[in-house]
Amino acid sequence: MTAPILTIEKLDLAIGGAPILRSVDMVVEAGKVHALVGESGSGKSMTALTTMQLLPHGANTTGTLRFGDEDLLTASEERMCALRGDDIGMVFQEPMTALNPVKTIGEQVAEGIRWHTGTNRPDAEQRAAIMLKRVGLPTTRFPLDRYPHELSGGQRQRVVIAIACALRPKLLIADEPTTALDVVLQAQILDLLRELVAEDGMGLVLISHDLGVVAGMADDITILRHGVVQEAGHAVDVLRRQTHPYTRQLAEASAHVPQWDGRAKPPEITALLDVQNLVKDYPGPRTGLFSRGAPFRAVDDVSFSVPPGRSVGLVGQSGCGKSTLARIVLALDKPTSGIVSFDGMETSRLDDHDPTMALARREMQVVFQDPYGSFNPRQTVERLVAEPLHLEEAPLSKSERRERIAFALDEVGMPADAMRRYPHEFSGGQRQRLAIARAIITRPKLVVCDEPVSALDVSIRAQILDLFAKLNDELGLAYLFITHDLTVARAITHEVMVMDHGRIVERGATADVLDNPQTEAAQRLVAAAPDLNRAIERRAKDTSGISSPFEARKHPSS
Amino acid sequence: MLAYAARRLLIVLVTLLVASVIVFFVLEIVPGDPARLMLGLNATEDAVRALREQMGLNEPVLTRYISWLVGMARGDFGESLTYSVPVTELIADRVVVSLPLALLALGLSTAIAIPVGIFTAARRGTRADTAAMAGTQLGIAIPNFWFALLLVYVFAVTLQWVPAGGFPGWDEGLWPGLRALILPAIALALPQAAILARVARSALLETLAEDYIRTARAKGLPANIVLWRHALRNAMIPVLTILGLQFAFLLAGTIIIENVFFLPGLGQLVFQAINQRDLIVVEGVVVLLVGTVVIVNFLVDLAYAWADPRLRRR
Repeated sequence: MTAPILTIEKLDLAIGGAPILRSVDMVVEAGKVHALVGESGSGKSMTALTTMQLLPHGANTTGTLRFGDEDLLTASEERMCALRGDDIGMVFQEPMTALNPVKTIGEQVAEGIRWHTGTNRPDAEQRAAIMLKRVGLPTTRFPLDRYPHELSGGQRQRVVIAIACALRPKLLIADEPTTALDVVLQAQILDLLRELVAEDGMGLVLISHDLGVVAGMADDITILRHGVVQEAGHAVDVLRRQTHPYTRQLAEASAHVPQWDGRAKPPEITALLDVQNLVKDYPGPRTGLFSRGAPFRAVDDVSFSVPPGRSVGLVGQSGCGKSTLARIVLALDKPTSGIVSFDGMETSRLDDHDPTMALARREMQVVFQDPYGSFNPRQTVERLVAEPLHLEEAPLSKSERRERIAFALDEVGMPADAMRRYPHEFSGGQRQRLAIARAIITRPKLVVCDEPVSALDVSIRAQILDLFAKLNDELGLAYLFITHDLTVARAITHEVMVMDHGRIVERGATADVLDNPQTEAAQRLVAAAPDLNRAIERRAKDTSGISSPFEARKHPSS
Repeated sequence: MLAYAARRLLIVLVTLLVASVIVFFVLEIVPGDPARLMLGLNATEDAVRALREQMGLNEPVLTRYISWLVGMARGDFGESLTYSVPVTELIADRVVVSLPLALLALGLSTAIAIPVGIFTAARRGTRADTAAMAGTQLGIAIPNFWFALLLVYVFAVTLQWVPAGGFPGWDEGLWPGLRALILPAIALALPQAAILARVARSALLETLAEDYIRTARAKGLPANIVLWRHALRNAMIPVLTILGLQFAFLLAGTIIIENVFFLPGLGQLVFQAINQRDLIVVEGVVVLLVGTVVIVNFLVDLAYAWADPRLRRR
C-alpha cells in the first residue's frame, strides 16, 4: 500500500449554517483512481472544492484534510495558491464554459506553468505545447493561438485537462469530467485520464454519478448520500457485491428498464410521422468581405417514419444532426428540401399562421433536456402547464381548463395543488414531470423528447422512464426519443435510428441494433457506452484471485 | 479581422448615407421658407424670389440633395441664414471647445469609473463596496448644473484656482484653455462616471461568476490576479457600449453646462440656431453629430472585436 496523497478524516462542512458534509472519511493513494459517487446534492463537488479550498463564502469546515502531511483546512491562502495548479489540479464538468473565451489555448495552458515555475514565455509555451500533445492536441493540428470557440467540447475538455496536468500534479480532481460529453468522447477522455494516472503516478479523484463509468475506471470508491458516506472500499468489490442497500439502489436504477406493456405491441402499418429526403443546410462561415464558405449540411437526405404509438430512438454523437432534425420535425425550422408530413398534414410546407399548423402543433409536443431552462420562473405551474392550450381551436372555459391541467398533472404523478406553485419550488425530477404534463395537456399523438433524462440522477431517471412507458401505454403516445445514452434508448424505445454526420446510417429493432451493430458509427457508439455489469465482469477477471470477499479493503497492489 | 473591419466600415457608409437622406428631407418638410426668414418680415416678394433662385431652392429636390451632399463632402455645409458666414466656420469655432471638453470629460469619467468598478467588484459586499455604490447613486441623482455651481463656488469663487467661466481660446496656449475646461469637464464627468462605475461593477461581478474564473483559480492564481487577467477583458463589452453612448452625449448634449460656464460650445450653437430657425446650421450640426456617433460606434465595434475574438469572424 502506497502512502496516501489525500487523507480526509471526519470532515464536516456547513455553508451558511446548512450542513453539507457530515463526518466524511476518504483516502486517496498515488497512482490510483478513487471514485466519489453520489446523486446531485450529495456533496461530491463540495468535497472537491473543500480540497481545493475554493468554497463559497460562508463555508465552515471542521475535521482534517491532509494533502501529504499538510492540513489544507488550516493552510493559508498563499500556500493554497502555491499548491493549486501545481500539486493539485482540477478538471470541471462543463468544458464549453471552463476556458476563458478571450485567451488562446496556448496562453491558458502556459499561464499556470509560468505562474508556478517563473519560467519565461517561450519556455512555458514549449511546455504547454508538449502537454497539449500529450492530451491529443498536437500543435501541428491545433496551434497554440487557437481560441476555445474554435474547438469542440471534447477538445476543450482536453485543454482543461492539459491545464490541470501541465505541472504533473500529485493529485487530480475531476468533477464529472465527461458528463457533458457524448459516449464516444467520454470514452476518449476517460482513456486519457487513465493514461495520465498510469504515466505520472498521480492520484485521481473521479467524481461521477455514473456507475458504469466508475466501474470501468476506479480502484477505490466512496459513495456519498446527503453528505454522509454510505459505503467505501475496493471499487469492483463494492459494485459487484452491492451489499449496501443504497449501492444496490443506485446500481438497479442505472440499469432500470420500465415495466411496459406497449413494448411487445406490433407496430401499426400507417405512419403518424413521415419524413422524406430531408436536407438542412446552414450557411458556411464568412471567409471574406462578401464570401462565405461552403454551406454546412446538418441533415443529409434523411427519410423515416414513426407509426402511431411507437417509440423510436434517435441516437448519435453530439453534432451529428439529431437536434436539427428534431427542430425540423417540430416545424421550428424550415428544411432546405424534403418533406415532413405529420398525421396527413405536410408541416414542412405550412407557414406559422396556417390554422392547420396550430392543429399539427397541438398533436405534436416536445420535452427538452433542461426542465428549469424551459420554464418561465415567474409563472405559476398552472400557467406553464396550460401554455399549449392556446393551440386549441375553441377557447376552453375556466373549469375545462382546470380539468385538463388537473388531468395532466395526475397523469405525471403530481398533486393538483402544484398548480398554484412556482417552478423553483420543485426538484429537477418534479420539474421534468411538469414539462411532460405540459407536453401531454393537448392530448398529442407524438412527443419529441430531446435528451429528457440526461440531466437527471439515476434514481429520478428511472422514475421518469417509467412515466414515459406508462404514458405510452395509457395514452398511446408515440415518441421520437433523442439520446446519446444507449441504456436509455434500450429502456424506452421499440426501434432506434443511428445518426452520423447528418445521415441515418442504421435502423432497426432496438435490441438488434444495440446488440449487433452493423455500421461503424453504431459500433463506435455501442463500444463506448459504459455498462456497469460488463465493466465489473471485465475488471473482476483482471483482478481475480487477488481480491476475495473477505478482504474487501485490501487492494491489488501494483 | 480585416474583413470584419471592412464589413463594419461598409455599414458605417450606408448608415451615413441613410442618415443624410433623413436629415435633408426632415428639414425639407419643416414649415417656413428659409429665404423669407433670412430677409425678414418686410421683404418684398421679388426679393424673396431672387434669393430663392440664388440659394437654388427652386431646383428639384433630388438635385438639391445631391449638391448638398457633394458640398458636404468638400467640407461646405452652406451659409448660415442669420450670420451669413459659412456653417463650417461656425461649427469649427465651436468644435475646438466641445471636442476637447467631451474628450476630457470622457477621460475623467473612465479614469474614475473603471478603478471604482474594479475595486467594488473585488470587495463585493464589504462596507467599502456599499459606500462606493451609495456614492454612485448620489452621482447619478445630483443634477449636474447644481454640481457645476458648487464647483464654481468652491474652486473659482472661494479658492480662485480656475476661472468661473468663459473660454479664452487656444491662441493663448494650452494651459489657459485647459483651465477653463476643467470644471465643466468634472461637472459632466461625475454622473457619467457614476453610471459607468455601476456598469463596470456589475459586468465584472457577472464575469467573476463564470466557470473559467474557477479554472483560473484552480491554476493557483490569486483572486486579484484572476480579476485583472481573466475577468477584466471579458467584462469590457458592456463598458465599451456605455462609453460609446456617453461620448455622443458629451459632444452636444451639454447645453446646460455650457451655459453655466459661458462656454461657446456646439450645444449653444445648435440651441440658438433652432431658436432662430437657422436650419442650415442645424443641418450642419446634426450631420456632424450623426457622423460622430456612427464613427464612434464603428470604433466601439472594433474594440469589441479586440476584446472578444469570437466576434472577429462575424
